[in-house]
Amino acid sequence: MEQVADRTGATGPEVSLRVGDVEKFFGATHALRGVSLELNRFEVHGLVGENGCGKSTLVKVLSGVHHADAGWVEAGEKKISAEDVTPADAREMGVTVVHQEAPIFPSMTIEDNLSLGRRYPTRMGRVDRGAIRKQAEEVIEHYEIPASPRTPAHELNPAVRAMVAIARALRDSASRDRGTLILDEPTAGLNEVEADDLLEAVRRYAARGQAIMLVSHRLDEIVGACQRVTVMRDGVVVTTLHGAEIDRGNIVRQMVGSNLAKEYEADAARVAEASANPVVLQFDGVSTDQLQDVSLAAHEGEILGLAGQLGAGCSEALQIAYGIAPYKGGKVTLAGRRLPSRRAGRAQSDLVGYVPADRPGEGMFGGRSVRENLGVAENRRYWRGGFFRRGAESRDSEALIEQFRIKPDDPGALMTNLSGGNQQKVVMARVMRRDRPLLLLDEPSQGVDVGARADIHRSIREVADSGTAVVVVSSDMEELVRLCDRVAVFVDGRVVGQLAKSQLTREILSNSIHQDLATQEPTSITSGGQQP
Amino acid sequence: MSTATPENLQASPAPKTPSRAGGRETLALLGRAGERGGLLVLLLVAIVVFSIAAPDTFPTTANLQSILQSNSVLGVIAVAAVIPFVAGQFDLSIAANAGFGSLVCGALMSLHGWALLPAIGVAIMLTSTVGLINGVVVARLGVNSIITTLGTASVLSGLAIWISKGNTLATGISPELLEFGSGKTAGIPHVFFVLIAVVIVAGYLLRQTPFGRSLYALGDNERAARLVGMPVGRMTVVAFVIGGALAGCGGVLQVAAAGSADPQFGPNLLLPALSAVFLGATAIRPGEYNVTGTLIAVAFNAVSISGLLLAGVADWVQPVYIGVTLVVAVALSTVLRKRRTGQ
Repeated sequence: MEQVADRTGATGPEVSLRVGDVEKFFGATHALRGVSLELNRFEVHGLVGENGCGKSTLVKVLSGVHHADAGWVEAGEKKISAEDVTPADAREMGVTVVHQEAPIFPSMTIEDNLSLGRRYPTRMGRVDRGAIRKQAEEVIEHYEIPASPRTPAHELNPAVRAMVAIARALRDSASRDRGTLILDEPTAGLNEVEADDLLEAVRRYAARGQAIMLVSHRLDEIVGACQRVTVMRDGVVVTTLHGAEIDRGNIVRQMVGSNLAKEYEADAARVAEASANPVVLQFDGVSTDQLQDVSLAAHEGEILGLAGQLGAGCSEALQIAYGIAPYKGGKVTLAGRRLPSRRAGRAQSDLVGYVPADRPGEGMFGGRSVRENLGVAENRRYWRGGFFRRGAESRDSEALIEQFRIKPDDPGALMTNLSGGNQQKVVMARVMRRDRPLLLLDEPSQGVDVGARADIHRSIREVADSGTAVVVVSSDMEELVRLCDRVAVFVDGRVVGQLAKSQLTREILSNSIHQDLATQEPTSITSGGQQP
Repeated sequence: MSTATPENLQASPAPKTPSRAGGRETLALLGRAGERGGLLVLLLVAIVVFSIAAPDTFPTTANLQSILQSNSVLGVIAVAAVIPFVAGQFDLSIAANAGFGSLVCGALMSLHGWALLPAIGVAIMLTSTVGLINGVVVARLGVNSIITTLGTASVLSGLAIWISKGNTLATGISPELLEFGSGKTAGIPHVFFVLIAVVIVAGYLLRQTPFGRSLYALGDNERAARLVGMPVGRMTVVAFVIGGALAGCGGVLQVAAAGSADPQFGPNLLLPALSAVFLGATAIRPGEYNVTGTLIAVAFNAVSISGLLLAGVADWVQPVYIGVTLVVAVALSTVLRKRRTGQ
């Protein structure tokens, strides 16, 4: 109740964290240019901007991972130079950061996950399970996590898992409900329902007095969840919007400038009809443990979308088409030839370009340079007269870097040092540089900002126009609507329907990937352990 | 303290930026050059220091020749070890494999009266086969490479003793081989030319062929390599086979250089070779295994040990030195990699 008193105090919003004049260089790159902002209690504050605009760097400065080169940070009575914020300082100032890959241990129960990193309570030298459970129950109740303490984390849906990660991070912060919580892309990888659940929880935490900074590329959720939105571009805070100023178009304009915004909107209006062209990829009644009787066809020059919840079978269908996952029944035909079933074989990399969803694990070579990442499948092309033509490789890399607007524009930069969105652009560029009859894209614009997303979409469209068949899997319904000529809807391993371009809207797609589940098996949509 | 607008922000820090960024860039460039050439500079410093500390014995032609003569075999083995490392695999059997090769080569001539070339051919064929077995067990059966090659190393050192009955084989070795192994051209021992040839071949393979370039990618992320369409299993096997073949060359070279085949020699070279590989990964191309860096590291270790001994330090310093450089090299390359990846 004291919090309510704070809120209605006559002095206006109560500032939880104040940041001023922060400068940060990485070598020659000026990553933060005099960044200042304030985070208020009781508010969700959005932080948006294109890849490489400095969002992540700012978060890292605030959490003490990077040291700034100038500036200051202030929380309550404590004001320190941003040059020497340590993780301990951050904790003392009540700053807690939860990253997108929240470190949750899937095989452990919620109560064990929650008790990690602090001393186990003991009784007569033994771990006191009762006390652990009591602590866990208290945390679960406080953060309104819809699951029981004994549920193994792998049974939770990703939204609840994220809530557990947040609760664990906040559990240790000095003053619960008073500190500053920074969420870095918390909804990446969640579908819309899960993302809504998580954001609902985030709003509740703010309502109790927490100051929350939400870093996200999904503008709809920023618009829906935030009271204030700070937009960054090229290391500068462009503006902070609040109240009625927060709308999608406004944010996009501030992020990318006006020209790109128009192209981006125009992109949405494009329509193509290609279903009369020859078939490149055909599934006839394909079954696996997960898929049931899936039939599909992707035509030349067509962009086919696969929509479904995580685990509905979309990604698996791509893996089968690429020849790296086995199938049991049915028939898969790729460019007129039948793919062997039963046994996963060699990747069909001559005919098919594939972008996996798990970029760090499967999509890129983090310890190698951008140039090597771009050229990794083209090594033979540069081998002439017994020597590797590094000059030609570099020239081609530079052209791709320019074409895909990869930042930094240095072919020698190490892949892990790029922001997530730019890494994704490198992976896309690597796959799209070569003409192949089929392109399989699993979450092609994950972690990529609006401007770059429009670029990537345009490149995909160009590739399709040149006659390639493209199959796209995305958890972002808006992306499928914008990009695809046709979308096949997957529910529980079945194709339940196909939507033509004219029928496509986000609402219809969202409803169709969820509706059948709701009537068939209402429980499987949410996590186990929903009891009070 | 409200949020800043682009106008006032660009007005304030921008003018300062160029000089500051420029200075930093220069520093960063210098730092990188220092990292690349650091080991070479250390090598030169070591040469100067020991020349001052032991002016009568260290900076002499005889000593230089002795260093080249007695470290070329180690150099070949270290270069052989680089190749599986690049593919992301350990080969801890590389030195034992070289020792096994030297015993096979020596025993065929000494105990069975074979001619030189067939003996060399069979030795290298067998060490390559050992690489093939390692590769198949690691790549096809999915056994961890440290465990696999540790096991192979033990088997090989046992086989070496069995072949030689525990003796050093010194009779019946082809005189041409002995003559080559102890000979010099223009004052440079012949064995050193073999090392340089191996360095050139391995360097060419890793840096100039599609196979080598792909091998670095494989070593970085096996799953991504598979998805890009690389024949990951076959490449891993080939990397082990090439390592085994080069180790066989090292073994034959040892027979030439020492004039005998000693079952103790191989296993003892494992740590010196690994030390050179890890130390080599901190130079020339910091953070990645590379042949040139490895060569410089072998030279640095050889000069340091020779210098220490000639300056009057006791023998026991040698294993201590190797142990320390091994750990320091790995620590250093870990730090470099962290700096490189900004983590």
